[in-house]
Amino acid sequence: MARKPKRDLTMEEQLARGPVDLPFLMLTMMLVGIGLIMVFSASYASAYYDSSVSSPLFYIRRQSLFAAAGVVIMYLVSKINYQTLRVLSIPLLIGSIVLLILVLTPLGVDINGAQRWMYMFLVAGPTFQPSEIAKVAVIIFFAARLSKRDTEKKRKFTNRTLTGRTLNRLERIGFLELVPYGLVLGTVLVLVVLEPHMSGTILIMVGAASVLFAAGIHLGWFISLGSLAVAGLTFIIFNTDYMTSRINLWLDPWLDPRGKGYQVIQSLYAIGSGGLLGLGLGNSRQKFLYIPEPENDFIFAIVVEELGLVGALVVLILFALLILRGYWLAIHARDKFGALTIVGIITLLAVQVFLNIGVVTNLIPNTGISLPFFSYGGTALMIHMAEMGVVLSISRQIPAPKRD
Amino acid sequence: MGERQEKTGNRTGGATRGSHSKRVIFRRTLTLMVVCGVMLFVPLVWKLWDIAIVHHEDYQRKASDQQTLDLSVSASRGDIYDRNGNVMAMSATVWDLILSPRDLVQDKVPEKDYKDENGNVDKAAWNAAVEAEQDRLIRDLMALVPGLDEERVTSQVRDTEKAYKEIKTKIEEEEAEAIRNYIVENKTSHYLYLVAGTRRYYPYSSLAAQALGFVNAEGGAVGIEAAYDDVLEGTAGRVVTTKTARGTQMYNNYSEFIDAIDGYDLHLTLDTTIQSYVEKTLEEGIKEFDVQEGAFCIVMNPKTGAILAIASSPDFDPNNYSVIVDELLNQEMEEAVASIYESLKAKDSEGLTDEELMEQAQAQAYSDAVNTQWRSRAIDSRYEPGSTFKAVVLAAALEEGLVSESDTFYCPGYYNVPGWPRPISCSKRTGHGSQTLAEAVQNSCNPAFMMIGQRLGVDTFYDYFEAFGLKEKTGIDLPGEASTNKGIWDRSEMTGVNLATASFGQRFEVTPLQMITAFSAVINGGNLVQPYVVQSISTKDGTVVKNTEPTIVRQVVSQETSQRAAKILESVVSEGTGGKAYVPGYRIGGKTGSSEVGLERDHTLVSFMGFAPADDPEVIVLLAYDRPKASSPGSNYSTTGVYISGGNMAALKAGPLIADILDYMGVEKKYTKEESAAVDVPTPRVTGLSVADAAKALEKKNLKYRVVGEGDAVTHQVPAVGASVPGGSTVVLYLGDAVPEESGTVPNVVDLSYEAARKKLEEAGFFMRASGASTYYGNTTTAESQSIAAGETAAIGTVIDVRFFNVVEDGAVDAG
Repeated sequence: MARKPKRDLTMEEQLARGPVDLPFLMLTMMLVGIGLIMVFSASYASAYYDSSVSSPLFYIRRQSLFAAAGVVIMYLVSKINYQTLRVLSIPLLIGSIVLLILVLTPLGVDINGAQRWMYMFLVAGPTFQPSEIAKVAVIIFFAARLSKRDTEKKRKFTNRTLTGRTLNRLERIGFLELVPYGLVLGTVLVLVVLEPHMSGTILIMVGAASVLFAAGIHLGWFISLGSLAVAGLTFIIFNTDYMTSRINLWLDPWLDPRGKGYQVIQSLYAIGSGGLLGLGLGNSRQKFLYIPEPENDFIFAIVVEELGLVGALVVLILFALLILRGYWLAIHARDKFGALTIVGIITLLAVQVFLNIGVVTNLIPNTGISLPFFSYGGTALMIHMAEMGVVLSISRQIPAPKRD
Repeated sequence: MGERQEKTGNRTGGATRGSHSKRVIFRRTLTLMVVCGVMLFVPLVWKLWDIAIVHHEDYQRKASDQQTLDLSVSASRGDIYDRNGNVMAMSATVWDLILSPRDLVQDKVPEKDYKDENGNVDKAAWNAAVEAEQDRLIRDLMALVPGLDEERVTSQVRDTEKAYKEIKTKIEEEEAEAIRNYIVENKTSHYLYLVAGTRRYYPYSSLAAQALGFVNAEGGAVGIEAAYDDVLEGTAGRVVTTKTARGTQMYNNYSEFIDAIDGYDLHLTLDTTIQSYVEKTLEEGIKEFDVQEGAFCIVMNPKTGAILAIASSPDFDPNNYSVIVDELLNQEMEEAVASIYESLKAKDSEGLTDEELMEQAQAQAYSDAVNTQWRSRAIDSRYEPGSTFKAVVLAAALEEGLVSESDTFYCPGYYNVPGWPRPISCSKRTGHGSQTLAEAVQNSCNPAFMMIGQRLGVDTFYDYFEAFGLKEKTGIDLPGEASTNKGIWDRSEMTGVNLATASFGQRFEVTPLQMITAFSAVINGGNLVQPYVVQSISTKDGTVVKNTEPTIVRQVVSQETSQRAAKILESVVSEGTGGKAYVPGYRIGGKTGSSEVGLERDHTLVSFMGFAPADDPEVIVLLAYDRPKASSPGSNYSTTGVYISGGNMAALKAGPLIADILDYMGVEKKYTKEESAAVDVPTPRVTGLSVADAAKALEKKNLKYRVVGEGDAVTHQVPAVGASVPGGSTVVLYLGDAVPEESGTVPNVVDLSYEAARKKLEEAGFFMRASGASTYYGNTTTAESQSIAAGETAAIGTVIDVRFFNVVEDGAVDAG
């Protein structure tokens, strides 16, 4: 397909060919790079001692390939004119719901009693989590719909019937507007909970909520639904042994040092041994089978052990900068759709970082959330990079500031 | 419709679901930006700081605790050699077989294999599987390791809570080999494994047991093993290495090796040969004299203080140090049980049952007995030295010029000491009469020494007592030297009566080791030496780390005094109470001692301190037997019929012992003229020679002759050519037709004196070989027995052994 000369392009097309936001791209690439190095360091030992993998380089080889593919995907996605996503969001959402249903069928892959994974080519290939796709799909769908709030007329019903009056009242307080979002979100969440996949549920909720929040949905809804959730959670914590013990274990992991507290204790040992400057890259000792799957959720503990608090802060600052730049791009986005999409994606990223490191440092109870760009997992990495691609695509259409 | 639309439109303004949404999005995004981009990171950073910096050390320590594998590498304990390089103690690797019953279950029949989908365990099936596995192991162990108690093993294997059970300890290499094969074949190393340890071997078993001591779980416990524990044990090494959670080494493990430093070897001054002579002598003496309380002996080089042998009886086998081997001690223990039981029962306030009391009594008796056999009496106990101490008094008096060889002392059989109501009697109640200094020592005359003691006075006596090292520890490198505290009265409290008894070695105590060093100072030229048992310390490859040089603590008396004292002491053996220690060819000096132990009735400790050669002593021996059993209460004879005294017992055993030692050391025998008589010589051929030539030939051999018949040439001779006769014997030469008789009747010589007996036998055509006394045959010496009884017929020329008897009375005194 021959590239059209610039002069033949419409305004839209010209905008879509704008430059990507370099700071955002660089931050992403740096994090992916550091993440790869850390996966290499953390996975070497566990692969070395794992007789089921062929080589100590098993994990890093795979992760590198996925990272390379991820870079390509990020580039391709950034080339897409994100305006098309307004339309594509609906098939994307439907597709992800179909996948979420499929994963519950025997097509899904059961690991440790949770049916969260599917083969990329249904029966073969690398596995991925449909919930990862659902996260993005929900965000984009919400963003696409909510960006049209201003033009969406309030629905009016006859005041003569009770139903009509009730509906009118509901419309006035903004409830009716939320119904379609609630239905979509509810459907997705129910499917994810069925897997079961708690952390996925939380993240989808966070992504959706952030878009709703940014779009200007009345704060009262967040406050009331939030307090309802807190009350429910409290009730669950105090009334189910499972949750009570989890909370106790969070407060004192040494209650069960060989069992459920083991992972967190080992993580604390790793971070604690790191100190200010760390043991040096590659010198982690906790990765020698002490931390189970050190290349996975607890990779950040290895980062601190090897690179110290200084290294950890560098990583955290890079994340913070990426997040701040993301919101900056949202603020400057060409349209509300772009802004809301970025807000959803970036908030999701920020919360995921927070939850992961919070768990690793035992700030919050264990939830099982991976660290973006760092944790081993090829498809998750690719999806994250695709999300960054979306952000980059939106960044292309930010008009360059006028030069004086 | 339109109307309503308008109305609502007017009322709500925009009438859309959102308005001013761009501004709202901007504000809310900004909020999220602050919350997610900054605020969320604050607790994370705080928490990281808290863990990595504030609690850094705590976590790091815990982490390295689990990450490091700290193996200790045991150092091998040094060997102990005697002076000739014979191994007296060595270590070898042995193995302990350890079982972890818990891991057996976890490895072989993990509980999870018996779980259904719901996590319920099929208890019955699991238990059955566990039991089957345990049974199999018990069977294997019983077949594999000989000498196991099946009941014990079964209870060990079934104790699945535990992870450490010693199935068998101290397994030797050959046996361990089979077990090791089993472990490898069955891959049991995770729950059944061998742990290396060391075991101490004493190739000479009980030889020098107390001196060597033994090693228990804590290290050297007694003797040299304890005194030189630091030197012998070496320094255990360590391997600190990192390990994975599975316990294997990390591929990039950093290991820190601290090499084990093997213990040093010790080369003792002890000589296993001399030690065996000594122990044999102790054993023989104990039997011969029916000794009740054990015995001890020290052999030392008087000039250097090097201990050549040191032994105490009862002894033990350090290879099995907790077994009581001595019969007497065993018997004593049995007897002690009953009395301890009685006293426990009398004191019992806890209402224990008879059985429990008996158990306690047995345990106590056993512990007493075991401690007794571990003790080195020669070092860790004190005794009253008795007359052997007179040598020290003699040397002091000579040094001070208070006595001289020409002095005479009159002994009426007792001596009156001012301040004591009764006369203190001499061992010879009838008195020794007038005697020179040398005779007084030879006779071990107590009154004479009380006089000498008086001449010295308390202060001078005390000065010498201290100078001879009797108030201080000798400083020997063996543990447990007895305290010298209260061994003797304080200087200020010592009275004339004390001095009198002390002058003949009674009523104060010293250790045998102190006594031998003091005595050494008397005869070695006047130097008090520090005794020692370790000659050198070397590494395994033979590099000498430390060599002991003899230490002279101080010169106590002059060389001249020492020589004079030695000369007098030599005469004790050649002419006095020490006669039984006489061995022809060797110049042995010494002093006997018979000390009453405390005020106990019939408890005499007989001793002999001997040294040789007298002019240049190479060896000094202190031999003592404690409490030869009196045949009846108050009797002076032992149950075996020997007069209880140092001269009759200790000297008798010490003489051959010293001779053996000197022989072994290669000291040449030098016979005096008189001694030659005691030495057999082969008769030369003199038949066919003229009388003059025959006389010459015989004289060469120290033989006399007499002639029977007439003629120029000797036709026959008695004894025949080559026959051994004692030197000085008279050979009968037959001249001309005179022919010797074939045989003759042996005359009776019992109760005759030496000369008379010899003359009588030679007249009858026999020869006499004297034994039982020294060459000094005084008037009191009479023949006790003869080897061929009187009246029997024997071939002419037969050598008849005649045993002479000499009552030796020494030391033992009734001082009240």
